[in-house]
Amino acid sequence: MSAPRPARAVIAIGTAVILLSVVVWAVIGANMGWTKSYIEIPKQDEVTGIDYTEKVNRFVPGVDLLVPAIGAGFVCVFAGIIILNRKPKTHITTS
Amino acid sequence: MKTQHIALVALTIATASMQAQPMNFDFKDPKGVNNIVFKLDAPLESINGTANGISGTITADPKAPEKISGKIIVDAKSLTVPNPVMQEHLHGADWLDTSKHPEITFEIKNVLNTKQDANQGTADINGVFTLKGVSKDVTVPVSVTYLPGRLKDRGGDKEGDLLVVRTTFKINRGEFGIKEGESLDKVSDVIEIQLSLAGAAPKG
Repeated sequence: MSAPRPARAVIAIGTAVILLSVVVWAVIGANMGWTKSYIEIPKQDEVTGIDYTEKVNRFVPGVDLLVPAIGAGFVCVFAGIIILNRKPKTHITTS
Repeated sequence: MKTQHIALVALTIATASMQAQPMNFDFKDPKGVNNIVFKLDAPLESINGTANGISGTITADPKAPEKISGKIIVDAKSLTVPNPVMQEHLHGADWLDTSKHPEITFEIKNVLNTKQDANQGTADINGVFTLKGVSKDVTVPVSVTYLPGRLKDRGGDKEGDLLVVRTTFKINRGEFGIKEGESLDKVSDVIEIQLSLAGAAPKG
């Protein structure tokens, strides 16, 4: 009879992981590519006309981090649902 | 008056002949603007990287573009890609093996099909491209812009000239011993390389 409480907690954690992953990914840049540890700002040298980029250290999560995070969240949610739907064992005692 | 006129003409001719002398352009750019961009197609997004550890010297005569010679050297460890895992793979033994092959070089052999319009010109430059210890003959289309007297405009204290060199060409990584025939579903065999370089020839 004590199963539903931790099961609900696991579902809540899984849902939080999914939502948090999507929100953090979207806020930081919704990068549809690979995770980046720096971004590049385009510049041009005034005298030579050469285009170059200036690197700025910034962590930008990509779909390679988003997908596993969402996957882990779903695993938690499904595990919670399975635990929640498990029939409680009935103990028959005979005297 | 006539003597002054002759002296002026002689000075002009002397200056012109001095300018026609080959000059050594140093491509180690203190401003760090010189850069190489390399691109490889990949399923999720193309892998774009840069390198700025560039050095080398090109000897060029702005009046005779076919007489260009020299060598450009790239510090292989200066190649970067934004993804840290890819960066590790890039410098590893399977890819560039930068600890064993610290330099990528291009040495000019011949200059073909030169076209010149004032201080700008194009040419096909044939040379030896060395990557991961493998040297191959390649011919690349190059555009060159000569900027006389513009060196000081870049913030230095020396007078001099600039030579801007741009080129884009493609190589096959497999031909240079980089995972030949492997991982073709993850990363293309073709690498597009784009160089934008400025060399300085200080005077005096």
